[in-house]
Amino acid sequence: MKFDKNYASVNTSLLILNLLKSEEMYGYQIISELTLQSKNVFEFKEGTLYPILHTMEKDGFVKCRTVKTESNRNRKYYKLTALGEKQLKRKKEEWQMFSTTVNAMLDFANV
Amino acid sequence: MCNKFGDFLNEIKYAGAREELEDHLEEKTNYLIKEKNLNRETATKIAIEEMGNPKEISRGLKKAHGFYRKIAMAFCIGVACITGIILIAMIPSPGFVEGNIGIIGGADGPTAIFVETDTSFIMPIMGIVFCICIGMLIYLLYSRKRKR
Repeated sequence: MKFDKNYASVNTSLLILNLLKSEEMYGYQIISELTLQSKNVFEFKEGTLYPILHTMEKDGFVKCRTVKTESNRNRKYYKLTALGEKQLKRKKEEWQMFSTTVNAMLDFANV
Repeated sequence: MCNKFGDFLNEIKYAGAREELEDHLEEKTNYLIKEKNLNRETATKIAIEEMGNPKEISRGLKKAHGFYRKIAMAFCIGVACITGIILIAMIPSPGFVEGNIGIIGGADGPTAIFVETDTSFIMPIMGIVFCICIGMLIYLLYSRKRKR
């Protein structure tokens, strides 16, 4: 099923914060997890993740550390901060309120 | 920089993200080779395609790192400095005030002295412009801190 990409893009930051709640991850891992957990529903251009991650880092929602890989490459791992946890809670509440309202309105229209 | 991703990575103007993007492309390419049995050339091509428009990514990264905000701040500082210099240059020194001086009095000395000068609106306007620039600068700095 094809989705309007605006649905996903609005909530990409919420999904990323939620993913990072459980463990620290690097860019490619985040994309792979998003695709896997959404059963391929959320497939977006992979590069768009990085501006979001860098903005989150600037805002203090995530912090990153660099790890050397086996191929001697620097890999950036992102981890949720305390501020990020608060942001996640706030975003979840926002989303729940929004989705509940939309669902209620759709149900009302069907009556 | 790896040549096979060179064209893509050269479009990324924020150098701090190139290595990270290259790592992503490398891992994606390896995944496609291993899991989808593609040859390296095709896998590289697909990996780059799936990353999206490099110009758009570069714009997003610049925005994330406050590139445009820095330009705005530099502009404000520049305007404020130039306005300040003009203001300083325009402040007349007390010995060179142009205008008419009238003196009323008798032989035993003046009883009143009138000084008439031109009213200039340039100075207050410059002052306002200067204040607006300083205000914008403070706002930018403040909004940045508040966001954090």
